[in-house]
Amino acid sequence: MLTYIVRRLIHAFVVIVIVSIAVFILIRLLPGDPIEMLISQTQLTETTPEMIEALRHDKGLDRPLPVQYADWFVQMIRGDFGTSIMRNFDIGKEIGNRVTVTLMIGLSAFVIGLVLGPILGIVSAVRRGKFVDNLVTVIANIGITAPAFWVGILLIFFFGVRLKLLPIYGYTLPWDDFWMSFKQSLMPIFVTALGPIATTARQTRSSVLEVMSEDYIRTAWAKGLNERKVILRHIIKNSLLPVVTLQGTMLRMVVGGSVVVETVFVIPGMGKMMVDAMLSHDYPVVQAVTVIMTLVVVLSSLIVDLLYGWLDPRIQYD
Amino acid sequence: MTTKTDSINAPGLGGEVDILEEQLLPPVNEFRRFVKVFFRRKIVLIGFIIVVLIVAMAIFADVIAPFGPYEQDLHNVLAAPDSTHLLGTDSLGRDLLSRIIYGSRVALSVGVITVLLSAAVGTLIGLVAGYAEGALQSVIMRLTDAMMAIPSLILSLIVASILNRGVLGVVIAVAITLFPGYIRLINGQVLSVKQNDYVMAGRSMGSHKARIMFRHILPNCLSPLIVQMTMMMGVAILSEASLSFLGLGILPPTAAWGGMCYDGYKYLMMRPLLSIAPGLAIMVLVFSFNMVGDGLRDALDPKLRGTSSN
Repeated sequence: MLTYIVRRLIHAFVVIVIVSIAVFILIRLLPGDPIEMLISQTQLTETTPEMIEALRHDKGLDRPLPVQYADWFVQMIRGDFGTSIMRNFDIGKEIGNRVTVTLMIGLSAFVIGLVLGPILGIVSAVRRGKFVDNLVTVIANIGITAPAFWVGILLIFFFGVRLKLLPIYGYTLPWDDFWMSFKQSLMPIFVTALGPIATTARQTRSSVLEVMSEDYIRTAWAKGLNERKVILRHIIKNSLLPVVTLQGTMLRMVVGGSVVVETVFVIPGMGKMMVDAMLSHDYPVVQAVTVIMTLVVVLSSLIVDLLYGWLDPRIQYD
Repeated sequence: MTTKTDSINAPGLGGEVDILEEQLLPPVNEFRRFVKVFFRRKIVLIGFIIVVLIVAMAIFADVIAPFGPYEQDLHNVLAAPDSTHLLGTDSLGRDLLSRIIYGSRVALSVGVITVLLSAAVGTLIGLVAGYAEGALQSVIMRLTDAMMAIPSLILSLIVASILNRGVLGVVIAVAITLFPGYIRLINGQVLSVKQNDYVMAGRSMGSHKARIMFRHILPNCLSPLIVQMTMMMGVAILSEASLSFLGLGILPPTAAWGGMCYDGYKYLMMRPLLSIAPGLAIMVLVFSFNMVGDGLRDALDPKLRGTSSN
């Protein structure tokens, strides 16, 4: 078990290194020179080539690429993400502030999906062909096929513009103003959770249906167990395994979805930071946010793998 | 399998065995069986019809659309729906319905090209990885893992902003997030198909590696590949829409449903249809492709169970 964990940790580290190199190279291919953009932004009246070079040297952009990469990676491991080229803020601090916002919404959505998805799937499978099943199937299909930004716009239109029940944009942290935070989070959390709920519900449904046709379930019925016991003890326990493996993908969905959701609802989180940085060619910010997001995904899929092994003792660690 | 062994065991009675076989197993028309299973569910049929209709709409957009996609009527800006403009007009006085009709071209072409490109690249790499095994396979699969660890929308965003904002740029940006999935799928398939006797036979006959890969292994991976491709159509269309919505996909004035949603979003209070209608179009198209994918899986899967060795 311990060697397995160590091996998976090394694997995770390798993935992070590959991703960081890939992102570093990709970002360098972006069009537009950040130094030129910075100069046009600060509206310096007279710029000499020497000043540009000095600035470039100052930002460390005149060194060879491998040196820049190694420097960046080592700094990052120490927790120093550098400063934004465009607006001179400390990226680590800024991410620290924004990651809370993204996590508040993302984690709530993830947990809701984790709880609601399987419940809907189980109910749907147990009542197969009935009204509930059809309803869940329709909702799941909408959740998978509707673009997140569109669901967001629809919600804003009905609950914000028409019914005037909920604020249509912005975010407040719960410890600043709980009621406001609650009202502002409802729609973004729902939009973020919709995909995970739908996917998990579908997966659970088919997995439960599969388990229900197994011999040991017939045995359980045959030995006279009541419905509750059969469903809780035998069906659910065995059908949740494939659902657990899906959770890595769900996290990826939640993390990636934050970009769209935070843009629609104008929420100052990591996703919005990403889009803004991308539109202003702020290399270090894009790099840092991508690596952090990947780190979240890799570590959580590691947890999912370990959880899977714990739930299914048949899995061997060697 | 049984037919072959029977006729080998009784070479002189070949004809009789064939007649017997025919009586035991009435000839099944593969295509008719496929169509029957495929359309068994009503929702699949509906999805299929909608896909055909939208494809027709994209091809004949010039004939169907009442106005051109760029035709501006500055006296009739943000008009409410009426008999001339069935869904109203946008902030530049362009007919919304016509732009939605033309938008199907972007959605479908990005979807189809993306899926073909990512499937071709992914299948090729997956074949090589699964066939080679050893170090090459582990390097390819580790790189694939790394690719799949980046949230796909983030990766698309970065790649899309490197490339120019045309159809091709968006196609590459989306395809780069999809092809690792094919590598995994095909790699797994190859590993199981490879165990079959006919691959061993091919190898012992001295067939070239490429011949074994493309003539013997690849055809036996086709069913899951086709299902995956249909399913990915929806994903590709959704990704393009998200990129266009964020302003990093297909740029205006080209009519792309995601971009139209973003433009219309500014006028949500006054003309909600401007952002809601294009989004609905995306959902209907993606939903239909997913239904077709479901039907294909039902129709192709039993055959799959028969051919794979485990």
